[in-house]
Amino acid sequence: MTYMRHVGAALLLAAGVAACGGGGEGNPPPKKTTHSVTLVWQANRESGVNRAGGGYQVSISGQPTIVVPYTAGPAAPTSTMVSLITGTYTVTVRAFAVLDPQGGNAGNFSANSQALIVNVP
Amino acid sequence: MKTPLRSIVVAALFVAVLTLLYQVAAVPAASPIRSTFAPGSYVPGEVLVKFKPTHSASSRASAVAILGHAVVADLKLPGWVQVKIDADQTMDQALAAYQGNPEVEFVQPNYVYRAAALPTDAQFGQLWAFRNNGQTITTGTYSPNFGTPGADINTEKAWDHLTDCSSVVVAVIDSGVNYNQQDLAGNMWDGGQIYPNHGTDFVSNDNDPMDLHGHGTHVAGIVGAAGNNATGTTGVCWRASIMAVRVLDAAGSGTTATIVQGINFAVTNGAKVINLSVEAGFFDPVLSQAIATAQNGDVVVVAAAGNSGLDTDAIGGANATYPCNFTQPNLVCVAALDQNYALATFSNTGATSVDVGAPGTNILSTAAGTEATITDTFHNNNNGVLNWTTSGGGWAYRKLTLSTPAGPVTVDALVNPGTFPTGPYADSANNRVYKTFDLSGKNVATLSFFASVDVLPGDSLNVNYRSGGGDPFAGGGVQLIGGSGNTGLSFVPFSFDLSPCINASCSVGFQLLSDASVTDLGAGIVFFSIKTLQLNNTSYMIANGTSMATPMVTGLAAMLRAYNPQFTYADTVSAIKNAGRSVPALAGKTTTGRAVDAMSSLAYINPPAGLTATVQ
Repeated sequence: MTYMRHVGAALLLAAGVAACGGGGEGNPPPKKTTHSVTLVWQANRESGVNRAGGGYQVSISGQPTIVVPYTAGPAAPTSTMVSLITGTYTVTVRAFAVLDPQGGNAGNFSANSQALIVNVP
Repeated sequence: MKTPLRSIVVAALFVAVLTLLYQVAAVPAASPIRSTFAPGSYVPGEVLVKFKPTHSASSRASAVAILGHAVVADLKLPGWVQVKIDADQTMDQALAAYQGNPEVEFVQPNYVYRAAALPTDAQFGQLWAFRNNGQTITTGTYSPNFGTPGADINTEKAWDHLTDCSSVVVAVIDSGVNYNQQDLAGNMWDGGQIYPNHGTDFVSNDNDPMDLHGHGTHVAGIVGAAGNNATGTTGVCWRASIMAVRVLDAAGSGTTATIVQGINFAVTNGAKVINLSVEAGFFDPVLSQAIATAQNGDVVVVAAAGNSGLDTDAIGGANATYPCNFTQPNLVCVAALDQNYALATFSNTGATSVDVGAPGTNILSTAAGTEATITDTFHNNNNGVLNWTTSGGGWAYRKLTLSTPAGPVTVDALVNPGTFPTGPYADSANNRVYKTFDLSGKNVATLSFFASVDVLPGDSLNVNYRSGGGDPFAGGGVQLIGGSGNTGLSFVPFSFDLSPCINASCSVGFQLLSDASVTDLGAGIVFFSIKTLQLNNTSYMIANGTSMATPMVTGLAAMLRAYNPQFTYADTVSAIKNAGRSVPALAGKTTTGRAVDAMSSLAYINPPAGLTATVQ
């Protein structure tokens, strides 16, 4: 999935460069560049989030959803890094666990975190 | 055949769910791991692994051996093997080891399946709050005593995941707890050598919080009567750690000082949940401060909405009831629901001050002992003749008609003068009236009555008792209350601890003393009773009240903190309030409009907080 996202970003970047090359007289449109963006949030304290089958899901407007699963240790990771091109993005995080409100294993998500607006120059 | 079929169906559902989850989550199919990990829900030290079809049996064994594990069995399903993991590994570590292996399609714990079972407690069938199948509560005292199936707090499913809350200390700040009761003895807080009786007593200022009223023991049983022990009832928690903090006396009354000391004791000694089934109609800044102290100590305080049937948010604040009208975020206020999830007629409500509802009628729970009530109507066989001993005249029996919200009620009354309430009582009077009662064998006795008093300063109405019987206003009598006063023709309740008078002959009496000046209307006594308690370790009883609804939520708070050891008070309160079940009777009358739901709260996940971004 990470690979696919990079390919997508590269194609967009190429399109931006092509548009620049086709410009006429006057100020050229702003150059679009790619930046690494590190997203960090506070750890949830639900046991189900911090064990196998739990974790977080990061949503970035216009981007594929990123899953940050629990892998090992006392808690699920609470950060992720993503490459984004110039633009404004809305980011939210939600936590998930296996246990569902009916007592089964169908999975359960939290509500989204407060949205964060990220401006990538 | 049932078990294998069920396992296969469950496994199929499991995979289907995983597929859905991972479509959303966009995670490679080799990664999924899902397990419940509730204690006892899987076989320790074992996992089930599904290798890709290209793997032979020998290559599967090799892949397992590299991790220090061993194949226990081939499950005869394509690719699936049962694996014994390294003894030093946790289940999480073992699953993670296979999760990272691209040759593994799936890994999961070896789950344990049990026949769906209810706890074996003998009277479980009467505990409608935990399993409402519409049953009639045979000894119920609140009407209706039959219910609506499903109108319960959904503990059955939650119990599949957690029944042991003993890692969380729950303080029952109340009239004490009969810590020897058969369903409570094993679930009491270990106070070590300093508090060998599982708590403390701020009424008698000693370390023996034995319940001399019964309220606290009933509350404690709802939180954590031992479950699945083939005895009596069960609590929300089958195993618990209940700290008994006695702040209410034998008559069920306490003070700001005792309650605040009780809260501070609980916080200082490690309680993480406090049950406060008390109410008062005045703002008490010291109590407010104590609840704030509990908040600073990361303690959840669960409080009763009150039993006056009032809207505690009514404009003007006349109905405000505390502690519920305090605003601390660690406070959860609970209204009472009946067996059909209608609001109990006695329950207070408040759209901004009462948070959730829980079952509070016909609640069967542990009792401190056998309770009995001696009532007296002041006459025999409706003959209209006072049957108490009198001295000096003045006192008489008569019927009075009282105005009540339900309409006029005619009651038996002890009055002075005989024309009460039209008066006047006599000048220079020493009117005595008394009766002797047999209280032998009781541990506690509480005298209660309602009185309307209009006695001028300089005169007095006295209430005395005398151990051994006879005139309680003669030598050896003990005064319970005395003086002048005016209740404005209203009858107000009085209650006194009569325990020092426990023996075969205990006399109780009223005396009207007056000087030679003018007099007024006099006094009327109605609803005279002596409630007794004989302690034992095997009794149970039915009770109604928001006091009974409150420990349902207290037990849930303990369950949540036991299941999620990292939970703060805020996490716990959030899971209680946000995961409840919407109930029409609570809409607009509570902050959430919800009744608590144990399973939903257990599964509830708080939204992540503190999201930040750094652009490089």
